[in-house]
Amino acid sequence: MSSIELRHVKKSYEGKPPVIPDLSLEIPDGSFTVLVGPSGCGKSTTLRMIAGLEDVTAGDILIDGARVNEVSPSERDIAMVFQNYALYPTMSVQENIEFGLINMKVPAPERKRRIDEISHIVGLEGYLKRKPSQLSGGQRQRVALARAMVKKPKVFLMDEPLSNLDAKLRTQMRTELIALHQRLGTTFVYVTHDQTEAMSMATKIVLMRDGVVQQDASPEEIYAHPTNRFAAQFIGTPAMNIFPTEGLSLPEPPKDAALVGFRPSRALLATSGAGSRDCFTFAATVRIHEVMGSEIIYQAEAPFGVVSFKTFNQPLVEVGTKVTLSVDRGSLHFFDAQERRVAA
Amino acid sequence: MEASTALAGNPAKDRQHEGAKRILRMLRPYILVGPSAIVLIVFWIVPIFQMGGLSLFDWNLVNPHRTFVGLKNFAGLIQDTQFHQTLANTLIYMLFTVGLSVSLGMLVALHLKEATRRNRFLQAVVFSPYVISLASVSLLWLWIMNKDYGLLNQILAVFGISAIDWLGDPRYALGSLIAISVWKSIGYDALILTSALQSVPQDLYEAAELDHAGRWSTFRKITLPMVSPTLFFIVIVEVIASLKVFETIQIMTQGGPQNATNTLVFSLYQYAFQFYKVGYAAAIGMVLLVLVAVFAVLYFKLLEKRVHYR
Repeated sequence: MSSIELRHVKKSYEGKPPVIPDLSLEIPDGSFTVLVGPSGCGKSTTLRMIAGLEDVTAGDILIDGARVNEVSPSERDIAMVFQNYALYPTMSVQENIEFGLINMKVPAPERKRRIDEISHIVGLEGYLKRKPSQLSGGQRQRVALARAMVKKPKVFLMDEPLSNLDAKLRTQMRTELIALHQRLGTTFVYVTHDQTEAMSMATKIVLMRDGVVQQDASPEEIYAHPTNRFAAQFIGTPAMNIFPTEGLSLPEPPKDAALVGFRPSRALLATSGAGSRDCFTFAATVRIHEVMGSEIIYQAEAPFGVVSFKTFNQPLVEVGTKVTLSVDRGSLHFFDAQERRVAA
Repeated sequence: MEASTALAGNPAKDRQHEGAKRILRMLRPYILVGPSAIVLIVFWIVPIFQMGGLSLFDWNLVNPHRTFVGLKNFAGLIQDTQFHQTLANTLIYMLFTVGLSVSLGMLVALHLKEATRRNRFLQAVVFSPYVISLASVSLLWLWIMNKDYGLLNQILAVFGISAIDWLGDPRYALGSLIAISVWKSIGYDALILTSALQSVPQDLYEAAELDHAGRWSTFRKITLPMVSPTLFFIVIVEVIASLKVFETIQIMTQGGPQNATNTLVFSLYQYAFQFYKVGYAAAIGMVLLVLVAVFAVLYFKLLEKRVHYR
């Protein structure tokens, strides 16, 4: 188990503006920390710097309090699962898992014991003699995990490991990764651009944009109290509705509020036509609906713009229907002109 | 009325049209393969059979009469000690040329695989001998290896080493020809291997680094298997090229001194066009054919399990 700390880390490539201008971050021991953000935000670069696969331009990286800037990747006691798994195509599953142990000069009986144990955990017992090309995407994913696990590292680094799987398998593997983290209790650092993955697996989310941390908090905190407009709209599906406050009859908006936002799940269909004084109530016309099962996602046209809202276990509202939507005062998020959160 | 007839069509004409289409469909594969098959038969298969036939005759190339001698030419080869040396020369030439050019080509490729401007320039330099004609190469090296005024001996003289007769001494002549062949083909091998090395996914090396693999282990377990299809291709090309070696020997040594640089193809040429023993030359040709076939089968059998095709 291990904690990781990044102190004023900078990363730039020759002749280009810095990818990461100044990043400071603490990844607690035993946490499942997810670095999330849009493409090109520097999350994978950050992970690769922790792994030692990328040099740090300035600043320090510490693992368990020890500076590791000059320590080679193999000496950092970490394991990494790559986006496309990076399995050795010429080796069998067993050889893939065993390669690191052989290089670490682990005795043969111990290697066999560990491979048996790990292949049982990830369900690969019957596939040890196969080549990666003979495996499905999910099985390759398991081999990559097994290869990382068998070394018993202090830190697991994962670079979008589920992005090549189909939706169903991705959901299944998410659950398995959560269970694996709970079982091992090791520090996991996971990179993804998918906020659903981040929300469902993380004990801590680091939301990044243009190499800058936008918010660093638990999934609950980041969802309930986003620090800025970007965080508010990146986390949550569909994205938070955000509109200028000007011209809206809002219940007691804060003085500096320039923008108001609310989650689609917090906009409720008002039955009596008008909401209470503590609600932001408005009329809208349904334009699109997406039936997801127990929930239905709507897009409706309000006087101030297009609004998303959700209903749960309620009858379908047909396209063209005029509805009244109501958002509780406590569910409104306010942002100033610089798009920073304003206390409600 | 006319419109309805046009729509219904003419059933007899339709059947005829369908029949023509079916015949065309049946003939299409033969039409497509035909030209290549004809070229292959006329220029490859027929000459091989002709050569096989000639090896059973005694013929001097000029006299229209050929004497059937059965396997006498082959029996002659078995007893011919000069032919034994020629065969040994060919195999030694092949082994060293292929071994050295492929392994040195790999070394060069490993050093030049980063796509930098400097490496691209060095690649061009290393590749340049490959584009020079064999006749020019031979003349160039005749000068470099000349005992009296050659560049090589002049350099050795600086270090106090006495002049060596690179092409005139039986101890050095074959080695000298091997060196020239390696010098010429190293750039080609390096170029092909460089592109193969560049196509190995970088994340495999990163994974190996995290797996505590050293440089040798990474090369043996990751690089070599990943470039094995290319390596296989190069080895096949080099083996065939080295078994066919002729020009450098013709220009530089004429198979001498004391038969030290004579090879199968040059020997075949000598028997056919200098000694006018066409049957004997054809028998040598058959030995060469069998040799190439054996190597081809051997490579495919031995390497198919070791070659990783992505």
